[in-house]
Amino acid sequence: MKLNETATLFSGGTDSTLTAALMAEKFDKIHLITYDRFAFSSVMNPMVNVKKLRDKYGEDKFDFHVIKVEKLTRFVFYERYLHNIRKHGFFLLTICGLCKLAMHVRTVIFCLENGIPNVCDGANQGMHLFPAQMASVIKEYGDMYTRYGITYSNPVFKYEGPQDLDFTDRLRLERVLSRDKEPATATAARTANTTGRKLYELGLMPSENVKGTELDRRMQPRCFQFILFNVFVHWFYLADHTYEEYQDATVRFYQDKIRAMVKHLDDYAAAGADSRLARMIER
Amino acid sequence: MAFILCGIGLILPWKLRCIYIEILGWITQFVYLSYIVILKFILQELQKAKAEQANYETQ
Repeated sequence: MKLNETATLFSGGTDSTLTAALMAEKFDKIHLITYDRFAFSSVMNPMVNVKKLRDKYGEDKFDFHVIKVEKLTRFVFYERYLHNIRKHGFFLLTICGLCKLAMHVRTVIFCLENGIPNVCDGANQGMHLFPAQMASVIKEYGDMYTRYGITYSNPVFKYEGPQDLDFTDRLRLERVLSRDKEPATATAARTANTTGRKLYELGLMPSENVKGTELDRRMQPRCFQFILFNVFVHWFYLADHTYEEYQDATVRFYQDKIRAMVKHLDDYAAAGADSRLARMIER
Repeated sequence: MAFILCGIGLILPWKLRCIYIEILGWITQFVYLSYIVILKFILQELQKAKAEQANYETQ
């Protein structure tokens, strides 16, 4: 077991970059994992921040992996599909959550193959609509990892989300006028405890609030899949339900999905190359 | 409208669903960029008019 190593789910955004920076102070080696599948593009964009992290903490500190998860993601989305439609309805369109579930399953496999007992990611309380960043769902993920002897943590969870993250904030006049720069009115970011501010203090970002800017887009893979997720959550579900109802239904759905994935992971841990999951692992 | 958009997404197989969402994404981008371009144009014209007015008043 490589106790001094950790795997970090790494999109190249501010949250996962700060997570990697914080882990650099605790571990000798950090495996930055960026996932790739159909409908993702520019998956090498995170190299921008990988280079910054290496320049600051050392070339040997970070290993960067791009791992394909096309087959696994498709399986996660469509396994027991009719059963899940009957039981959970349109929650099958929580695309960002299901995509993240596939990534976590693949991360378990990565850790088992490489003897790495630690995993972390940039889950943040400010992104509370995303299933994989809800405290209750994170707990389920923690239990899943623990089952395989892996510690799962979220070092930046308690940081505050940026004040102007909502899509409609981008339509505000001051944001339009300063599209590629930090908004002049983002004074809240200067006093709030955000990941952007911390990265700026560490010298890893040029300003305190880069979320939503051109720089932010160039640091991460491009994915439009969140569009349908947002249509479902904002336009469809939250139009008639409270956030608490959304949260409860989300947790129920992901408990069900994670239980199903655990069965396959147990099979993988026992049978290895003969398991169903093994056939979905792409090298 | 949301029900229709979600319903279509729900019944599509994997790659078609991804392509469908990509199209929705590009439509959203088009609407957003059109808004930005039009708003910036209006602001530029207002600034020009204000500068001309200021010139006229000083003469």
